[in-house]
Amino acid sequence: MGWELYVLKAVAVLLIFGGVLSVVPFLVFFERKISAFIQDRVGPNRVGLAGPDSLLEAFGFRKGTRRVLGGWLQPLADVIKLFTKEALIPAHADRPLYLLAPLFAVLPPLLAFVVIPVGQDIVVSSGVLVKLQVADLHVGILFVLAVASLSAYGLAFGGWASNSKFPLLGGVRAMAQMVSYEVGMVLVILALVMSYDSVSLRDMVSRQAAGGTLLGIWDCDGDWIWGWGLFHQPLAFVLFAICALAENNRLPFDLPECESELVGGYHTEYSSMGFGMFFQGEYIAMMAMGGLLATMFLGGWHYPGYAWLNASDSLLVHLLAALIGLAVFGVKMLGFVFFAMWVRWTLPRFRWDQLMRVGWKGIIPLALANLVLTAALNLPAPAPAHEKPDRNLTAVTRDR
Amino acid sequence: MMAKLPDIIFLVSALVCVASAVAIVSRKNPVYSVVYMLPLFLGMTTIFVLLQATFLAAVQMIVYGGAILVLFLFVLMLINLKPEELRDDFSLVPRVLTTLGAAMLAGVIAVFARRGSTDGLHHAFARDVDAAFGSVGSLATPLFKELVVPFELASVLIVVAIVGAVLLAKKKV
Repeated sequence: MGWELYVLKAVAVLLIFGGVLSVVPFLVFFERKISAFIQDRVGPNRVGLAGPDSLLEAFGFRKGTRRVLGGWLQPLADVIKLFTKEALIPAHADRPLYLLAPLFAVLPPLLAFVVIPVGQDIVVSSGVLVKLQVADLHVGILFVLAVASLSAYGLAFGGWASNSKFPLLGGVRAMAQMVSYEVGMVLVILALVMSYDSVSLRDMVSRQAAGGTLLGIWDCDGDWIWGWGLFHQPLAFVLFAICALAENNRLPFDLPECESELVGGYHTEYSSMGFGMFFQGEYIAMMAMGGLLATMFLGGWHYPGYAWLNASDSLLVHLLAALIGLAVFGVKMLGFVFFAMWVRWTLPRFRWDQLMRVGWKGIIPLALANLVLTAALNLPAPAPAHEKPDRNLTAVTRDR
Repeated sequence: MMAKLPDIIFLVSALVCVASAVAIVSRKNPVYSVVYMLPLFLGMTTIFVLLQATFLAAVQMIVYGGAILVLFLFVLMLINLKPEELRDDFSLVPRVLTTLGAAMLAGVIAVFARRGSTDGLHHAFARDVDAAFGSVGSLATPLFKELVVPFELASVLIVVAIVGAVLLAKKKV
């Protein structure tokens, strides 16, 4: 193990973290544009007028149309405003925790990206292998759950340390909500682990590409999209998407910040980058959930034709296949983010008791039923005891 | 002599554990006690990883770091003690226990100080293990084969405890 390994890992970490962080401001811009579209408004359209729209007009492609991308520099203006704003700390706030809380909002979702694989290994030359994943931990999905469970602290600390009533209520709500929906989410993931026979995210993706028995009944081919978890576990897919919205505190589950009752909820007392980090954390968490959804249900970086491209001997074609795979993964991930925005501007907020009822009496029983069903459908065919292979153990040794 | 990387990681996480454990019992504000439990659990997770018990490490973080600690914090925030309601005095029992713990810690430090080296510290408990050690499969196989009866009995015990808790909470006074 030489120093090159550490350099490679550092580069991978920088690429993933830098990539994720630089996408966030644009997600905010798109959220504002999408909300404007849904509410029949124009949205931000002043900053960066000389953008793509003007270019199109200059070359005569469009005349007098609405400037769709007019405000494309708005994210930059937002960031500058947040950075230069005065950072106020309320006099009665608990200083250390108040400053620590935004960190807990950003770090856990960023850490989740460490184990999400974005592409297959590329053999650059003989022996040199580039993994498109920061760390292939064989606890995979468990690591994601472990760090995701930490993100409740950002909201809780922020709410408590602000030492004022609205944030405190927001923090209490955030904790109760996140613990409740984590139960459902873990049960859903358990069913997936059963049907993929592994907890490693990389294994899950390759199992989806390998095809298999759909819903435990029909045989299907892995080349097309029928091997994807979406078709193996349709109920789990829906439940996971709902739990993901609830874990990210997105509407209709955004009770912790709930503007109409709690002003701003847990971040009421935050200004400047303190608020900026909470805001960022929300979008990073959304992307992390999208990445997880793409990995577990939508075949990760796979797309129809991937196997055909990869069958070629040329390194260039392999690189092309991986590049398209990367783009496809991004589209799947951002697809979920778009879905979350769409839902946000479409559905009204739940009442607190409704939220708890949906979590404990709706999602958890359904997830349990799904778990039992999956277990029943995935029962291995009875084999003579002495030659029965130990499926779990072989899967694990292969991981290492 | 250069210390090995695992030794350094072990020493750092052990120190973090002990320091935050001391902080937990010495804070006046219970919310801060809960806050200091977080580095304690993180340090323990790191030690689990050093011992190749990666599954236990993840479970430690999910169950204790994620669920139980959040519940502690939830209860404390619901009660939201005011500064004047917090007790200032230490009773005798924690004092005696703290002294005992400090003495034991001093003993452990003394042992290592006499050895004069941190080399091979992690070898004290991490032996050569095969690749599957500590993973989900290697833990699940004995649990669902040889130990299936005690395992299932434990789950019955937990159900009984939950039902008991609900009964106590629902009891009309």
